[in-house]
Amino acid sequence: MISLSQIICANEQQVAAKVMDGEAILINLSTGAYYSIPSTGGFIWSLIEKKLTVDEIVRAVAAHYNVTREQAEVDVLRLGEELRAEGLVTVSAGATASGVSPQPVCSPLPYQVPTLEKFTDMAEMFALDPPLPGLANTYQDKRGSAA
Amino acid sequence: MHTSISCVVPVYNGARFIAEALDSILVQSLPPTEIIVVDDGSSDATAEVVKRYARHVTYVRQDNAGPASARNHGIALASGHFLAFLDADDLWHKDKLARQLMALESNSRAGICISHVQNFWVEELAHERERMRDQAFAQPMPGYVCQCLLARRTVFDDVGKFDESKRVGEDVDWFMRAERAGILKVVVAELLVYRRIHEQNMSYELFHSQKARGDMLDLVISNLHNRRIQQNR
Repeated sequence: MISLSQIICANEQQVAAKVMDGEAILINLSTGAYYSIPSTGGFIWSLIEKKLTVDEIVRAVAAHYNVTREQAEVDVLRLGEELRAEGLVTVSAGATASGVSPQPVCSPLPYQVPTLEKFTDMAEMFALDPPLPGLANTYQDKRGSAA
Repeated sequence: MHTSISCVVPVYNGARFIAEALDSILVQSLPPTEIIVVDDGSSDATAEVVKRYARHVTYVRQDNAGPASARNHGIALASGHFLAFLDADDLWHKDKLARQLMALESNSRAGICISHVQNFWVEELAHERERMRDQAFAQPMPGYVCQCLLARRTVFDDVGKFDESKRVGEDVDWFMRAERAGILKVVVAELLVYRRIHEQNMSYELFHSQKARGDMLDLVISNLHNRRIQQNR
């Protein structure tokens, strides 16, 4: 279970991501699966990329959207679990919260429950070009140790 | 004759392996009509090695511009009705062209054929081979890469050439464009291509670069965009 005090961040080793028009597009480089996180979820992903605590993300979402803190907390925790199950984020002890309070926006945006949609139709194509990163890591480790 | 096949071999500093690649073409049970080696500005002994094959091979050289550019150069020179590609470090099974041509000739509506491929490791990476033994990456799989492709030449008129701006994924990009252009594909589920993993495999070095990741994201975004257009039709 992810807790509010933990830091959730993108698994940068394994994930390539881009936020376009509010929608986050992610690729898991070790499986070739890719994902869409539209709307509110895309905003949450952009916060995840900033290595914040879960609590900071929840507060930012509640300030930015027309949603209660309770609802935002439930949704951020659930999305976080889904992202972790897919290997897209790592969760660690939150020793250094930034302490920055989110600024409430004048007119909060309409809230949409964040969703994670997964696609695997390109996995077969990505199997060879480029090759799996697990292999690449080992290759680099080997070069490092041989030096 | 409608079964003329041109084989394009792009090479960059491939002196160590290219003789094996060319040998695997020359022993084909259905040999290609022509073999075009496009040297992408090699600084090693590639040219000298290829010279030994002068009787069988057309050799051209260009300034270094990447594998997509080298393949496009080869396509421009090719005269066959069918096009095949082999990277200078990989190998074909002796029946590769014969099996694929048979598949395309018995499926006149299909424009391209791919085969299965299996990775193999150079001796220096034997430990890597052991580590990967039971993983999917070491098993035969459908190959969405050029060395597994046999294409009717006319397909390139519809799909276009390889995207020279891409550093990785230019093969995947081409296969995606072919699918989008409605080109029908036959998969020969036989192991006909062997792909060598060695320390100079370019994809390895590029994998962690931002450019490579950006290229992959562009491919995925383009695919997603296309899916949504189709869903809304």
